[in-house]
Amino acid sequence: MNRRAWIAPLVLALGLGGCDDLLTETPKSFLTTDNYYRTPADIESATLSAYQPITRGDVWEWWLVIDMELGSDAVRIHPDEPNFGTYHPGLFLWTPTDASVSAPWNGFYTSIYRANLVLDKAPKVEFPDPQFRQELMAEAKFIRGYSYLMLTKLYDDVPLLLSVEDHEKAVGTPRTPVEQVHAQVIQDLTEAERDLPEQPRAHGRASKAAAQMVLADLYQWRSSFLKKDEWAKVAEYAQKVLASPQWGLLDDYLSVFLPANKGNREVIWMVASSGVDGRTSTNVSCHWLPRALGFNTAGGCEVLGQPTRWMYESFVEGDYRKEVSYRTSGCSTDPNIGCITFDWPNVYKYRPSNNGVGGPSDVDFPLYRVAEAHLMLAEALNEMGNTAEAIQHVNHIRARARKGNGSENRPEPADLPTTLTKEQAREAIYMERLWELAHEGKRWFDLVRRDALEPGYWRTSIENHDPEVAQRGDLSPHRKRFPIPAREIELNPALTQNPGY
Amino acid sequence: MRIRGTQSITANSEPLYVIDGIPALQGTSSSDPTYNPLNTIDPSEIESIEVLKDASSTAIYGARGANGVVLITTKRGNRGGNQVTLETSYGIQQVTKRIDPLTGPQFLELVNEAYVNSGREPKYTPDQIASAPTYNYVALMLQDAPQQSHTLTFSGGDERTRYLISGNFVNQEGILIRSGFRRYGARVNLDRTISDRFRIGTSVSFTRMRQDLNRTDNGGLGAGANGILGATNFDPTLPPKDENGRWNLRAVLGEQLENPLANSMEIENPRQVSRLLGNAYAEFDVLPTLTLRTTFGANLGFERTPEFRPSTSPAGSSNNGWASVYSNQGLELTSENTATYRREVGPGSLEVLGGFSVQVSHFEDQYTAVRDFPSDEFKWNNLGVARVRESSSTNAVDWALVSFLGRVNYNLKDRYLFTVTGRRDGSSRFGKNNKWAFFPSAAFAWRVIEEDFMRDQQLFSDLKLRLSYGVTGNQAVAEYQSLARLSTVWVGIGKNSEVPTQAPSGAAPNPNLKWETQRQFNVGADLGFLGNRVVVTLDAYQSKTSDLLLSVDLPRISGYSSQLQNVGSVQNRGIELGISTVNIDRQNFSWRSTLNLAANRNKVLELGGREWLDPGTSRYGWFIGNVSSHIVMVGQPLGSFYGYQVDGLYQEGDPCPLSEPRPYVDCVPGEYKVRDVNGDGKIDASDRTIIGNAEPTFYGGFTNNLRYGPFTLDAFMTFSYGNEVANLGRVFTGLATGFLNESEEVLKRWTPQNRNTTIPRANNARPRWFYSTLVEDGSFLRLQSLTLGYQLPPNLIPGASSARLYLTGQNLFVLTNYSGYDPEVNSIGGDSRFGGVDVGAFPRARTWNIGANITF
Repeated sequence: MNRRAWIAPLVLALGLGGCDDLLTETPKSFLTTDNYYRTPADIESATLSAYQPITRGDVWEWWLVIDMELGSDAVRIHPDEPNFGTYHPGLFLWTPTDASVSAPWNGFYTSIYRANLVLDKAPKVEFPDPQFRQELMAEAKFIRGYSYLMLTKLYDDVPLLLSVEDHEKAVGTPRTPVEQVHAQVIQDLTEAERDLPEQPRAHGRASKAAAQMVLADLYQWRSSFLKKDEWAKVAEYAQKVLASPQWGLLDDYLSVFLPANKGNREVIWMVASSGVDGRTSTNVSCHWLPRALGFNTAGGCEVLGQPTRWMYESFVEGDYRKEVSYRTSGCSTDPNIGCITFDWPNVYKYRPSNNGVGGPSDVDFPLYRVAEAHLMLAEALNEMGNTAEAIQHVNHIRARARKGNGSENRPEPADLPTTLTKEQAREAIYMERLWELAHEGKRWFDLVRRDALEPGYWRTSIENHDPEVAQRGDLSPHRKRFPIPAREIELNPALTQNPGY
Repeated sequence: MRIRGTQSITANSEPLYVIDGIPALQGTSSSDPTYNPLNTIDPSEIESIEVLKDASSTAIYGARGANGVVLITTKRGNRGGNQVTLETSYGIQQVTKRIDPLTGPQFLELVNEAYVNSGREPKYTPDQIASAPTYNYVALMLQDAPQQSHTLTFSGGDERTRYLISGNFVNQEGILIRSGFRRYGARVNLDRTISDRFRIGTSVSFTRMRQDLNRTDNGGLGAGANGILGATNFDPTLPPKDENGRWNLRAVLGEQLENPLANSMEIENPRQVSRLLGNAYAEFDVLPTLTLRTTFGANLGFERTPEFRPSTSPAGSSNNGWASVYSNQGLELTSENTATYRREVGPGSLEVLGGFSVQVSHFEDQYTAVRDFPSDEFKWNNLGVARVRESSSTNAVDWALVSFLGRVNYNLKDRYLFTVTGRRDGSSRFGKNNKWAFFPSAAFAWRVIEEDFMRDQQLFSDLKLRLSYGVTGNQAVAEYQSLARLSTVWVGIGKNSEVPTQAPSGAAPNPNLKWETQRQFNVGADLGFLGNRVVVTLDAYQSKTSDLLLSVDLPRISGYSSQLQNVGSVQNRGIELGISTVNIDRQNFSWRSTLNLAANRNKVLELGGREWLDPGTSRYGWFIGNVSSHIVMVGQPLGSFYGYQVDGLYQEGDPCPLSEPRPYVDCVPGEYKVRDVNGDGKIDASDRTIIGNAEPTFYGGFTNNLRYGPFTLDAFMTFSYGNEVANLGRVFTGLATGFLNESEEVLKRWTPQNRNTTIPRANNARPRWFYSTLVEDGSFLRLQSLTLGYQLPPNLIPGASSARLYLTGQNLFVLTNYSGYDPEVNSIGGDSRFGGVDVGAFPRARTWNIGANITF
């Protein structure tokens, strides 16, 4: 009896220890690449995941919004913002180690990697409907093309990785000349345009018109910043968008942005904000709402929110867009704070249903909308010498603003005369972009690309429009480009730094 | 706890705790302090604690021995009779120090000065300043707090059976309001000799702890500050409650702050942990020379940590009440099986041990958070009534460790002792190509005192020399790190919806991931003098840990941000000296002293070809310019502080060494002279440099035990010299930026009239960075405890065989130049890359206890 008693636990222990299986990890709470990318649903999920970095903090939810707004002459941070000193874009003091510099790089390359995964895996999966595979691959190409375009607009030459193997051999990959990157962008986006559906499969996903807008954006950048004079291509793709019956201007400017009006025919592609959870919602509270109102953001983090005096006063009196885009007072749900008047206007065109209190915001952030197609077309026509027709497209936008809430008939902003010179028209188009596309992350690019056509424009605009910051900050010419993130150069010595940094 | 310095950079550097032969739950990452098993044991249950340090003794624990091993043996019953022991004590904890914030008028003046000095208009009028009230939130949040502890033990036994049954209870309130700790537990230890050749026994203990957090622990900085730091930062002009008796929820200073007093009073956040530790052993002598032993142990842990932020609390007000429940269940099973063979071989005795062990673990946790309650009455007890489900998650983790071990001891004439051990370990945590590793060690000890030639000398009463060398491993990294993991990524797709998708996680897979390996060489001597009235133990060691498990950065164009790799090495060298003396030993009076002194030098030798690693911003980096407070650099010790060197203050007429001075901040009288380390004429993040280190030059303890008749006096002092503390909380309380309320020290700030100071002038535009002025000397000498005991005369208490009364004071004084609450702090957990940070650390109390031990 005694003898058997000690055998039992020994046998149990041997049973436990007798195999190497015990040392093989089989995770239960997450997947690995070994048990994924097998079905069309897996590939669709992987495709959607490629949108995510573009819509999150590294890019259009936080850092790129801050970079583009504060790096322009249109928006300033409130000096009470606790991290004022951290937001170097506001003072043109960013360095290669700043998060403001590395975040967009990180975000776009993460999107590119995920898009390349889709392009690598999708052909290996059996699709009952091959058309579906074609569309998913078109979405991946759209995301990859858009990401590479944005990278070149910020950093110029960037490493061009087009397959999973390219990513595995990332160390040692040098920067590829812009021309070569753009050739790939054009190929990706023309293929995407061919294969994408007219109507996106879901709010937030790409459509044919979205690919056309990115192509128009690409050629506009090439024609102005790179002086390639490809304005005809800008006009071609803008006209394609404007010709589509799917898309058009709304009557009420404000309604374009209201959550209740999501899926309207003006916004072609956007950061879709769920309002369900912070992880999929835009950060309206921190970007645009005044800190004093006691919004539920652990400290009321106002980061931008404030137009420069020049920007605010540049609107013509009676412009509906100014009236609905800003406010100078507001009320908190906290009785201790109540209603207050701000010391300076705050942006108010992004209005979440919950007013920014008690949960995530449901306001989308527009990336491309029909109004911009009109202004792109106007700019292209003007640059090609067809000023009179260009003015008509600007006036189209101004006419919509005069409709106010849709049923008004305002006198301002009045139509521009079609007799403007080419230079006057260019100025008018850029100003119209400033007002119409206010706080949509476009102004910094406009300053930089116009500077290529009119050397000194970037610097004088900031000096004239924001003298105090111009004095405190650094307006050396190299700041028209972002530096390559220091971390990337350190880990991949094949990369070179942009001049001046 | 660190034994002989930090052996690893990112893997867990905590030692392995072995309780009654069963390894206790071990945390995986070095920042995970929650698994300190000492918290779950009542000190009165412990018979002995043995710390294994040198590689020969730890090698038998192979895979997990690299950080040292702490063997805890609990009390067991003694043969002969029955005993009942009651230990009981009551005490009071006192606040030792209070660092007051500025008064209302002082704060408003600071803000005005800071505004004007940064080119802005004053914020407050003289009338507002003159009429400002003062509410000292620091004083409101501190209190004296009672504590009590009781243990009742039944023990005893006869020739064949021994038993011990005990129960214990501890209740402590905290010196920060609404903080507290409660623990109760029970233990049963049994041993039975079934026959001359067969023995069995068991140890079972159950412990339940409750720790009230309630927003009193250190949180972040600025708006994230909790507890005492939040109280320092809060608006001193705002009363805690309004005229209707409702909490004033927030104050809008440079940041919007939640009322820390209201949060602590309203929020409930108890952490409740239950732990069941049990093992059973059987020992069988097959032959007189051969013993088989098998031990089976189970370690069960349950935690439930709910939190409720009522709608009346600042944190819950905008959510209309918020609640969460976190819970986890852990189970570890261990089977250890050994055979021991002993016999005389030649002139000596041989002991051979061989065996194997298997340990498997399963862990699961759950989290749910909801908000928007119809009433504050539900707390976390009916999450279903909340209108919004905020989040929920579950997770499951498994791991296993399989080991084969062997040890040979040969004792030659009691003079020469040889030990050789070997252990082969397989861990599930490593890459499929590197699951197994072998850890050998050897030791030699020479009891010189036994030699013939020592017979005539008078100097030594004991002399032993020791030498050991061994290889141990560290597997304490998180599970699944070698796999190509996908993580769930939510994407906003649809008009008001989100979609879960799968995407590669940020860390690249590594199928070659393997053990960290430590090689340690130890030489030591045990010396006894004057009939062992003076005993000296001296050890010197050097260890090198290589193949460090380090997260290596990858360029982001790879699609990943990092990969866990085996690169780099770190070295520890040190000496340890222990001197125990019997100073006086008379019938009625005795005095014994023990001095322990240790010095360790830690150095990073190699980082896989890189010169330094940025350990990341942790949770404080954002508030100090979004950079890391520490750096891991080759040639430097771990835990080096990395910030801006300040060389005093600019005074009127000082030349400006910078070509691009920042307006209002550089080259202005009263501002910091920040060193332009890279000499580019401007101050920015690339000017950061090493400005201190948390490693002490030496540290130790000094114990004195005196007995005079029935009286005893025991004093225990601890000390540390040369260590520095990064008092990071002062970024918001000591830089005179006027952003939030600051502490009294900024009254000494620079003004044109007060130039001889180290505090800069008030300036709202000065960045809140990690300046060298925040690094302070953390050397200290602490009277850790002083106990006066009195042994009652026999028979004074009827039936009592022994009775003792005592009065204990703990933390009675600290001699230090440190300006914060206490120099022994670490606000960033046990992560060795971030040592010595103080961000609103919970202040240490002075405690007075009165108690009695009575045995019947």
